[in-house]
Amino acid sequence: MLTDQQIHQFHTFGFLVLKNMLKEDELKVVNEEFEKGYTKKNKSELIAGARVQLNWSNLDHHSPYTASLLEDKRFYGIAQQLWGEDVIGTNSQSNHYAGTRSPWHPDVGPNTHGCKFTFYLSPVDAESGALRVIPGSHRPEISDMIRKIRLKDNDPGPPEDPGLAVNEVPFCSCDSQPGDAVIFNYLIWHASWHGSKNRRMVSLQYYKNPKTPEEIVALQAHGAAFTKNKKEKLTVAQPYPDFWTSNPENSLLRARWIEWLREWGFMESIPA
Amino acid sequence: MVEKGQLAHFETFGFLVLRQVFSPEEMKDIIGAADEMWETALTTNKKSVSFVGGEKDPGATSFRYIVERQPRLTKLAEDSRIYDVLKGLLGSGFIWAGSEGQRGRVSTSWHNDRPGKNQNKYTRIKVHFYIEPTTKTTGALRVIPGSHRSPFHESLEPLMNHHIENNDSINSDKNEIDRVHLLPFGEEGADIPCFAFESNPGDVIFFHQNLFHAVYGGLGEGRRYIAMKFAAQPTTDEHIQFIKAHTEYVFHPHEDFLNSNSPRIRGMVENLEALGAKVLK
Repeated sequence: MLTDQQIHQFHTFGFLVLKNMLKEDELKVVNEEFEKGYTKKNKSELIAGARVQLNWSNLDHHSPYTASLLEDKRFYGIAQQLWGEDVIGTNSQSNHYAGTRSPWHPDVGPNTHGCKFTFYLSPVDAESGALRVIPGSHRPEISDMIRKIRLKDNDPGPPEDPGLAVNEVPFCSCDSQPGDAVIFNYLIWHASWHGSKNRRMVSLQYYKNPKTPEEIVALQAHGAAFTKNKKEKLTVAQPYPDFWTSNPENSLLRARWIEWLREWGFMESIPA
Repeated sequence: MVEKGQLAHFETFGFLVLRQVFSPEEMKDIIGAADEMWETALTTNKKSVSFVGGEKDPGATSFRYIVERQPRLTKLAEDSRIYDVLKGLLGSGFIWAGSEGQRGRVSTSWHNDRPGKNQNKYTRIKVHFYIEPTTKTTGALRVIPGSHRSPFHESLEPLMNHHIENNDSINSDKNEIDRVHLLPFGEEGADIPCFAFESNPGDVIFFHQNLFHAVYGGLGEGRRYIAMKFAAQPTTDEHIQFIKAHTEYVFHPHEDFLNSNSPRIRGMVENLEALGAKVLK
């Protein structure tokens, strides 16, 4: 669990690096399950562009242990500390990157709140694909200004002024070892630079249950965009496999989350 | 001139880095001139030197008016590669706000140079020239990008309180639990999230003086830099009060600048005494 100071740090800077969150035996299983998912993944579903990324849901029968981490109190409990008792576990994904970089971006638009835990399965630093973040950029006064800066990958200008490349933007590198977790606010601007052609990352994702009118409108829009992206195959093909939605152990927590996901448009209606 | 993107970078992140502005030959001359001034100051003009490192860095010195007193350094203040950038960032009519040469300081905890309510609404810029190569752990200036902007700026003020109360680092005689509770974000200063301006001689950084910055892991005796300070043209009584609160000496510019043959140099100082008189009333 987080200390009060860590919570303060997260909300001030928008991220935290937590050391040794997964033990060696857990990492072994997560790596094995990642490999099974990668083998099974249809390689034609590659997300092209600078990332050269494949991703898939961990909430499936090939990765039961990784799937269970979403409901693991070590992570879910931290998400509750950050976003409230009724925080929602929305997904767990595996990501394989073969590209040279991930362009700068936040994961969501304004007023959508939540966090992602990322676990890089090999050591990474600033020059080998570690997550780069702009500290504090989850805050509107910084994020709104960043949108005014021309970024070469996002909105390239003419050849004489193409904009800033990924490595030209000031950043803090979230260096990590296998077993470490980087938690970041979805709104923080993040990227990566260099990295191997076999970079592997597993994520756990949590959303704040919206409370204010602005949060409700933002999440409705986010849910609609999620459905659209799914139809256009811009996201994980089957984010909620039957393995997870069938909830064979009748987890009350999972049942609540599934209901929430249906309500907000992240999951197609499932026959009772 | 400042490109539109450079201006956006400065306004967003609070700093702008220009790489290899000065050639190795030029840097050799700048370093030689600075070294001469330091040696003179330490042997014959000790009043011009402050010992700024406290108990932690007893040999750390800051040499005031280093740029004003040495013509080979004065030319930096009017060099178009600096002056035109400042004009783009601060607007016409910007003023001179002093200079210093520092050496020997190993670390400086997180702070901004101009604390106080609304101080960040009045832009003042410090320009640093590092004389040795620096890296994050060997003397590089660390900054928290965007920390000059409200309300992010105010959320970091606990770092400033810590800087003032402890003057460099958490007291080492505190027990571990007390030490941790004195750290506003639960991290030692060296672990606070930041961007490190790693540099080589010839690189220049322009930074907003309300940007939070620090240095951890200096080069000891070897860490040296020259700094020049500037401020936007003061246009309100509040601006003048802000200058008075932090840098009253601005109203009493060095005579070599007042009598300079350079219109650019004179233009940065010639009306300041009148502003100072206004304050003294």
